[in-house]
Amino acid sequence: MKQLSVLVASTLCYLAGADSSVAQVGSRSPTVMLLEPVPAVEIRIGAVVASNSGHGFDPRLVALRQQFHSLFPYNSYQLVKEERKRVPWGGKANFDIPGGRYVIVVPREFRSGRIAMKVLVIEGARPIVDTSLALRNHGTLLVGGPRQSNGVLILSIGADTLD
Amino acid sequence: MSPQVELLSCREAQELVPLFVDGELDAARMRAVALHGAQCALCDGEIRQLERLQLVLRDHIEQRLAGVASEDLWKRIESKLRKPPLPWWRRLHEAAAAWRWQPQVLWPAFAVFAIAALATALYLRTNAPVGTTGGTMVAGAEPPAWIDSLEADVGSVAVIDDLQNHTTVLWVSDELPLAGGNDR
Repeated sequence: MKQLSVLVASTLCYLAGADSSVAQVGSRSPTVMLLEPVPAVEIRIGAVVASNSGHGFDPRLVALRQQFHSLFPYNSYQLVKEERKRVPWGGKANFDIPGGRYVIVVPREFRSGRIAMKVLVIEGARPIVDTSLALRNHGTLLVGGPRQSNGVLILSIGADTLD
Repeated sequence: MSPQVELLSCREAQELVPLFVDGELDAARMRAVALHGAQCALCDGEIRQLERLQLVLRDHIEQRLAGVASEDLWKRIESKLRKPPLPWWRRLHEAAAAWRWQPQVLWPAFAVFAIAALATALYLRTNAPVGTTGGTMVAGAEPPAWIDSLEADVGSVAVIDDLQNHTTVLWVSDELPLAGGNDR
């Protein structure tokens, strides 16, 4: 695989007329050194446990208060994890979330003011959600339903372009 | 529901890395490779290297495509396209002229047609799908997320658009707890 990478990169650099700042092929051990890709999208993830035990509303969720109250019948909303990752187009943002779950978000492209992306939510080896969608820039997708503690887990997934 | 983690050896992971980078693995293997990458610097380096290579390749192709002169191509396609059809009123006028209709006949026919069109428009307007959130009409609003494909290994899935708050909800469960929203 590495040899193939070197070959492809060398051909590419020749075609593109790239200089040594883009790619260098080592003389002793053949390694390809490519520039770090520029992050293009920030992916936001928030893991919220919603339940009817108690009446607490986590103040950090103020931006989602209206959505939660109009859509879900729970009394308590607690943010248990929040994370942001900046990735290039085609890059993967991986997040560990409570309950042994895992989220992979792959922003594909920006079109018509929307961020086309793939979202995978995995529980163990089971894909709870595997979806391709186009989310409005700065918009929010909520993925909810998995049982967590005394309530349910609601994931808020947001994406913002960095231009 | 205990988590089942598929553990990969470096050899197994490296065989899957190209498919992982292309996003062509199923969810379980996607996770297995991602987890392996998180624990193995060597394989993580392989993944990152391939991702960078993919980006450079894509940029290069995009640059090449940007340089392709598409104007001539479009002219050639345009020349092969059929002439656009005439507007309906022109066709009606020409048909009337061909059939030698008199205005006394044409105008009542046109009036009947206009009334029918108006009635249809009113019907469609009153029955058009609009987003609702707790009874609030959000006419013409678009869903915050356009879902191209959706697979879920669960009992039931609900897609709810909260147009007022610009939020789309995927609810994956055996119960539907929702209080409002526009259920798709």
